[in-house]
Amino acid sequence: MLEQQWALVDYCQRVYACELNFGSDVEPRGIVRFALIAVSILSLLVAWGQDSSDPGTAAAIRALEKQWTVGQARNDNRALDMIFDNALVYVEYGRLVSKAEYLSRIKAQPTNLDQISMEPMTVRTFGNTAIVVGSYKESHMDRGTRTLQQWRFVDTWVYKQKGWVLVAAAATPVAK
Amino acid sequence: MNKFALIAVTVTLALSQASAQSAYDSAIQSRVMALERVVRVQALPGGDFNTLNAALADEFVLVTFEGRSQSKTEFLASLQSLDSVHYIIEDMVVRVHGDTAIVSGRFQMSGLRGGKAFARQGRFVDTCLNSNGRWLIIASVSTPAS
Repeated sequence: MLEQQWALVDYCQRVYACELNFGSDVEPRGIVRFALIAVSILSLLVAWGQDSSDPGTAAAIRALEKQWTVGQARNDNRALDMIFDNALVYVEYGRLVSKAEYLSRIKAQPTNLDQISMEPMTVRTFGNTAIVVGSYKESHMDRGTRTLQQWRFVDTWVYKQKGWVLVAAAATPVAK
Repeated sequence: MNKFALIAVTVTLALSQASAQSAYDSAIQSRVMALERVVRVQALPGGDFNTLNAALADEFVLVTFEGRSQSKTEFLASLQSLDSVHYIIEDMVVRVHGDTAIVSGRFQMSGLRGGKAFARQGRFVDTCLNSNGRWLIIASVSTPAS
């Protein structure tokens, strides 16, 4: 789509350049072509805003992912409540849990700032929807021994009235 | 009297709007569930690559049961090594957020890969998107059930 629009802009620019070089007796034709170029550039900018590599949206989503990790580590249910949609679908440790169940678990667990370390993630946007795929390492004590498990996740964010909210999240353990 | 009439009209309009939204969500839920059944219960076991290709967005991403990330091309290529598959879905739930739908459910999968038997059961979460009137799966994750 983007390539087609670039081609259209390129074509319009060539036509307009010819018009300028060779002159035109009919002024409106030049105006029409100029308008065509303007419309093409405008549509290109609109398409750019919807592109999967939209840096502003990707940065906002990454920031929310970080807020989630920090909020979970600090038992900050208020912050988590704002990030999660009320109809959140969350699969943790192979169990489907509701937003309320997840928040009550976080509230009950001890604060642990070094439990989760995030790894690189990719953000793809599709209009008002964003998909995040990434991984993290989770450490926990098991019978006196610290164990480390890597997880890979898919999170889905949707842009609603108050901003981006998490509507689905699931992680699966990476086979060792 | 006028106030009462105004409140009655407002409440009626709000209820009818909520009812219309519910009917819209219900229709989408049916469509998305049908899509999931076609993909998982029919196309996957039947090796129907045309249907899979049409149902999965080009940007489709999968996190497999083993925690690997696969693109659409990689996923379709991985199916070539399957000799046979039997797939069951249970407890499917769909949540609609405008043009996005989240599907979650339980699955049981068994079959033969390279002559060796395999069996898995777990949960899946799929994200579907309405793209010009067509619902496509854009992301999927499978995880072992606890």
